[in-house]
Amino acid sequence: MMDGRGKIFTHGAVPLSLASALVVFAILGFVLSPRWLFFFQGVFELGLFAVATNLLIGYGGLVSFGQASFYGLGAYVVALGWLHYKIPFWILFLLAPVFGAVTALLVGMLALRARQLYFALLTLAFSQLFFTIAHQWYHFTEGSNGVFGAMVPRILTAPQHGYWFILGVSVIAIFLLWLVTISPFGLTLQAIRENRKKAEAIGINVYRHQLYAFVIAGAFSALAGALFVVHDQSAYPALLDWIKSGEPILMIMIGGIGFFLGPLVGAVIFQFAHNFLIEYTHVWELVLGLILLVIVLFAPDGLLGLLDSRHRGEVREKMHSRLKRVFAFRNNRPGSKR
Amino acid sequence: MYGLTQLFSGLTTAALLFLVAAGLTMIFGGLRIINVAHGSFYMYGAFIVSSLVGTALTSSAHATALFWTALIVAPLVVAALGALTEYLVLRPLYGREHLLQLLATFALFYIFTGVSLLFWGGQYRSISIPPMLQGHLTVLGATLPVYNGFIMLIAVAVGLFMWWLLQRTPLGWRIRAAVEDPEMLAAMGTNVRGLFTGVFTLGTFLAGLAGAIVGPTQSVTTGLGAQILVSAFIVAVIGGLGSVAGAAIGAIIIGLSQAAGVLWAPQFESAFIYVAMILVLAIRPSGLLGVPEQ
Amino acid sequence: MTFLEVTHLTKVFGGFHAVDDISFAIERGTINGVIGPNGAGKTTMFNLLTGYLRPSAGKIVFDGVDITGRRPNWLSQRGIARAFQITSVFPRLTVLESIECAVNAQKRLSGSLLFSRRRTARTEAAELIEAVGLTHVRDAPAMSLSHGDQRTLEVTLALAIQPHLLLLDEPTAGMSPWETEHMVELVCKLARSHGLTVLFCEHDMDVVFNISDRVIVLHQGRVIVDDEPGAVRGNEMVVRVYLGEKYV
Repeated sequence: MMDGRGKIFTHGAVPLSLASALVVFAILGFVLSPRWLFFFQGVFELGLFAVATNLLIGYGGLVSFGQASFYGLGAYVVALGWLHYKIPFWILFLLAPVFGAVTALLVGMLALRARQLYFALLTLAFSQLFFTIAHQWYHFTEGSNGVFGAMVPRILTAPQHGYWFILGVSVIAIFLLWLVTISPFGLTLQAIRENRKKAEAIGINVYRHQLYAFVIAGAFSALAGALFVVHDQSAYPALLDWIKSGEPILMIMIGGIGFFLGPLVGAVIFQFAHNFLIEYTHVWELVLGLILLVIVLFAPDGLLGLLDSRHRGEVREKMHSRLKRVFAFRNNRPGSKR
Repeated sequence: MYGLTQLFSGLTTAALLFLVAAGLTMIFGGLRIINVAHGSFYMYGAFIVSSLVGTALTSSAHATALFWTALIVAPLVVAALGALTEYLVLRPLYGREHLLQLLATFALFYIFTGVSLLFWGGQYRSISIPPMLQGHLTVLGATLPVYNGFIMLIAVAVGLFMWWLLQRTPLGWRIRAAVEDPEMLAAMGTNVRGLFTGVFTLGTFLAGLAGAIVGPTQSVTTGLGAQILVSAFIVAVIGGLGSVAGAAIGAIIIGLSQAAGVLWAPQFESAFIYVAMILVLAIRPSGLLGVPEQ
Repeated sequence: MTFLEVTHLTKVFGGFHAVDDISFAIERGTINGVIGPNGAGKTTMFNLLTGYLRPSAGKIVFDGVDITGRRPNWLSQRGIARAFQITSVFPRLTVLESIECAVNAQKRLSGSLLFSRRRTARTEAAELIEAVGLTHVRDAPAMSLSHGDQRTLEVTLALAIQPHLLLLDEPTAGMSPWETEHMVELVCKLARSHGLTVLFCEHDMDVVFNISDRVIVLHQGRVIVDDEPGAVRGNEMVVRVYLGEKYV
């Protein structure tokens, strides 16, 4: 189904899109109202989180349901370093991805022993473990209240400055992630996803390369978490729980799992649902859930999959067959493949 | 006898976790789907009871009758919802990537959360314990609320019923066979799709039942489902996904370790269960009674 | 000079001796065919030799080193390559990407994060693709290839890691006669030019007897004959258990 993987944007197109996005959004920073500046801060930071997670899910075929462990950790490193040790923000900001990488190494060493669904559940358990620690270690983490305060330098607290900072860091980080995906390592990761046994046969150490991917994704997720602190000036336990871990997966799916920039499209839609629908309806979860369900059932290649010109002819046919599959129950084949 | 009281409390937790995890583990075993929306069915069980019973205690006979009715109606409504869900959402996804199936149930989780907010709002609701089940028992000097005893009794009854169903009936044989090899079963002329619907419906019925009986012991909110889901997953994973007996063992381990946590390290009470799961999986990657995945 | 030496190799699956006390030795630079009826233990033996199964007993010595029980990727790094009986490729990677990946693995560049490192591997992969005649599908995803091209890709992936010992499990399974001929030619040409040692099993008798320097016959998990093609062809026992009337 996902044969369109990565084809909509050929190699040159990603840096080009990123560069033009950087320029356009940097200029937009002069004209947007604070509310929109705040909105896009969220898009950039969540977009980075989702792109980093897609290195595991889309490229590596590793469904981690615990990326919030690292995202929340990044936020807490900045917040707690400020709260308890008065370490300057800039140092904490650089420490966040390091903590993310080290924690991901430890978690990954254990979680990658398990396969597929067990891997998903183990990462979920770690995520909940970190959540519980943040929630209950009141003396250190302030418990469910979370940490609030002037942890971000004054220069970044102005919405415009924060916006430019988050934009710049996110775009650079996403570009670095793109370099990872086109490197020999990125290719190796995809080969493992495609055929684990064959990858071993040609001499690839599967466990070790999956662990690398887990560490890289962890480091960038933590960086996204540190950017969240710039955006929100707080860190609280919900940044670590399984619902937060599900969010990047949701964005990846909406945008298109097979496209490097797909998660960014998903991030825009997610942030929109989260920020604006909430004003018109108090049940934004319902809307978001319906969008996700429609995509899972009818367009599993995501929105970019629908736009992919090379597939446009197929898409209608595919949609049609999926509609039939969903509504023509009697014709379904018995049994299920594993 | 604070310790014994905590033990009883731990066993009550275990009873509820068993009911939810048994459904979860059966659904995984049969359909190979991690049902993230399972907690939502539990939450609906609680909400439906709260709507039917209300908070007002009228005449005691009336309240009791109403409660028993609700206890039967709520799980049935939830099970019907479960059947519908399986039919509309999961069927088209059998044989597809795990990720899609996982995300479909994640979408359902969002949808069910939204719908519950639509119907019941975001406030806390409380359900009174019916007069018949109020009061406390004193066992070996420790107090045990009658209602908690009732919860344990239901869990034991369900456990026995499940054992009988799975081990002693032709239907149970088919369900177990479906877990092992659905294609073989289909080749032998069993309607595997229908069986899957049945498994999903039974699983959600149990979740609805657990939700229905938990109502009076804690305040009912939308967050109820997300809360129990993770614990139930851990129970199922520790026991071995697909094994109902494993779920029972897992539930007791988690219930008791939570009680131990309350006694000895109240600050990290709930961290205990995650550590327990990580340890079990590090030693036995497919859980205590699970079948290893290739 | 003995290159691969197998002694008393045994694999038991729940009481069933799939491979039962096999011993043989292979000389460097030779092409060795393995034949035997279905269920003779050929694929199990290949899985033992390439580390996908652990032997129940016995020893495997490769180029003077005991390799018994080593993982597949370890063996592959040391020059033992294997093509599977059931075609096993990277479905959504293109032919070029697949081969490039194998070349990277051979050069220990699989974990490199530098894009620039891909250039040399890419050139090398392209040359190999040309040599095996897959240039016309170079940029097509592996899953879109015809069965014959997928089999060629399978063998090419094994060649890409520059092996010393090449294990081919029915390389021509399901191929048309023309494709079979092409594959046989390819294997022979590459083996001779690179000084490869080849161990392959095959259903097609003509192929086996045409290109092998030696033929090993397996039956019920045991080696019953191990000799030159001419001698095997005439061996009465082989005719009885395996070749059937066609060759009598």
